[in-house]
Amino acid sequence: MSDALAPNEEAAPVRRLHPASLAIGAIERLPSLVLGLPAVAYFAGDVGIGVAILLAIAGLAISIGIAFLHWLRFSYQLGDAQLVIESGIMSRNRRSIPFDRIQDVSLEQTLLARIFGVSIVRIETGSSGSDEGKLECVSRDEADRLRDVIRRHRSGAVSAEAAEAEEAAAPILFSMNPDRLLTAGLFNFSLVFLAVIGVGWQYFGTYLPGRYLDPEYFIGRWGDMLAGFATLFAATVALAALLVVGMVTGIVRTFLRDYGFELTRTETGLRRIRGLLTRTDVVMPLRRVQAAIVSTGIVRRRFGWEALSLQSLGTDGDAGTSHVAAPFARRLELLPIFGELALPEPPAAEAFTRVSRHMVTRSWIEDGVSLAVTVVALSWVWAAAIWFILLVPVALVGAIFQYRAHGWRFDGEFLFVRRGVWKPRTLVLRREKVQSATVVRTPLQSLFGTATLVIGTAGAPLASPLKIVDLELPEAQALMDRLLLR
Amino acid sequence: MEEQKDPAIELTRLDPRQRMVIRIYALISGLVPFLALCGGDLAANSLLGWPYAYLTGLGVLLYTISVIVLPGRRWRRWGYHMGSDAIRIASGWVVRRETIVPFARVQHIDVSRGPIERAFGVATLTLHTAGSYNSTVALPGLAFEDAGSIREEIRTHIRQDLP
Repeated sequence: MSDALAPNEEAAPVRRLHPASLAIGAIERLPSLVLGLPAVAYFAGDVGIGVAILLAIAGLAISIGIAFLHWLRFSYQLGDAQLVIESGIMSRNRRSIPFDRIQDVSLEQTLLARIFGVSIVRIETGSSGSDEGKLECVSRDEADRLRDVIRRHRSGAVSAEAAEAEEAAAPILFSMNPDRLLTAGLFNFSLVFLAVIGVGWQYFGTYLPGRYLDPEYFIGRWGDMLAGFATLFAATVALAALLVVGMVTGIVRTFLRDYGFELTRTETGLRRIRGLLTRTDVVMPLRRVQAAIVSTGIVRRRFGWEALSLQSLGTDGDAGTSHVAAPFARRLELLPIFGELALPEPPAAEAFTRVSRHMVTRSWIEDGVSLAVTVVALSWVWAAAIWFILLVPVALVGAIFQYRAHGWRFDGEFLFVRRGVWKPRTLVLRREKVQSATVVRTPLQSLFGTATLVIGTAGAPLASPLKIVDLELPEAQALMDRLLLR
Repeated sequence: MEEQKDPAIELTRLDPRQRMVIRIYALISGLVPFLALCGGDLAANSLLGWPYAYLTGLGVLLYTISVIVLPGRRWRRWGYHMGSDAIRIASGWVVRRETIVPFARVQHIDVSRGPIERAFGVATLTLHTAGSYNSTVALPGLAFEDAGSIREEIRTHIRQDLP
């Protein structure tokens, strides 16, 4: 990789990805080779383990060969006004991405990539696909150069020095020190490791001798032990152990994800760097931010901790369209970010208008019916299903809490909607970002004279659109009109 | 938009020919459940010893209702109103929906017609918005010419104001 050529030269050099991509690809394939061995042995029948290993190695060699061909036939060219990516072994594809259409460039470094000193470069354009322009593996310097060239083009005649100076002066809007990470980790108490063990068991369990999968094996062997285990003391110890493991898991996960968290203001938007092993460097263009969401938890709320995420048109790797801008912060620390977003912070809970009290009644009826149906249906096959009626008080009280946690406020320019008991969240939405709205009335709601207002916003998860449930019907219609009609 | 406080009065109904289109759709979509009930009748007779014709009778009843009675109601529940800068679309017999799409928020517009719609001279107008909810809002049962003129009217309103 030569950086000697000026980026504005007439015929820009055609470049390949960093050769380290081959090494990284091979290392990433190793686990599947090891795990694939039993499968090969199985399908190869009684040919013996030696042949199986040979077959597996041959498979690895072929996949490395294909990866090499891909690498050989993948090239990119950073021209005067566009990025050209050519790819494909047999059928060639040439993609041109004009700089004018590039929103920004995001970088990601996995642990392996960091060892080799390379980055994955993502070119974000206006369309919503996630892999519009993805350069799997370029050196860190080259990645910075790509970003600089594109940024310089966008900012017009700004010189390289000025751009760098601005970069250096970029104010830090939010960052997290280890103390904060530790606190956040404690609140991120998680028993996800149980799920991981479960999945691992499912995966590796098939390679273990069958008797370990047979519950009777355990009951027969440890039945007496289990009986002893059921004493109060043992249960307490187990619970304490679970608590400790949950806390440690939370802290480890938080450090892995948010270590070195830094949110800065760039010329086009907000730039977020985070990660202990996998470092990501993401730019969220301000123009594409659709809404801000302040979320908290039932416990951390009491301590005044909140998170801010931005609902955006762009995609953030696998994280969908919600970008975390501050994972664990005081309200005071969020204010500068709200300032950059030109959005107001959510007001206090008292400032929200509650929805109709029929929300509680409707929840009771709906939960009651579904609980009754479940119990009756399950009773046919499972005698213990009747104990589900213990959920009745939970449903009764839960509906009231849900009602108290739900509210809305519209001041003519900004809409605020708060919702949720376990994970209370408040969404802040500018009126112009409302794409459409629908007033929905189920038969039960028609009976109560209420309706749910569903608001279409760009970038919201399809499964959970923005909703204000159980408004009085005239109120729902009036709010819809105020939101959408001038 | 000049405020009409009671939109139910202002709504324009769909083209009357759409009633027939809905009916034919009901005829097609009800066929499989109807045949399943008929098959269930045979099975219930041979396996459970039920007398014939209960399930088939139920099937005939439901099929008749869904083809004769319901299409008219569903047609009546559809309506739309072209405001000065937004379209209001209402629909639904059991679950009632009323949607507003401002013209300025429309990304693009489709006018489509399937074979049955073509036979009856109606078309479906589909509005695409940038929102993930209501990413497509369909208004079926417009006379083909009306669909075209509505599309043209909305098109003149569409502004390039979305990033």
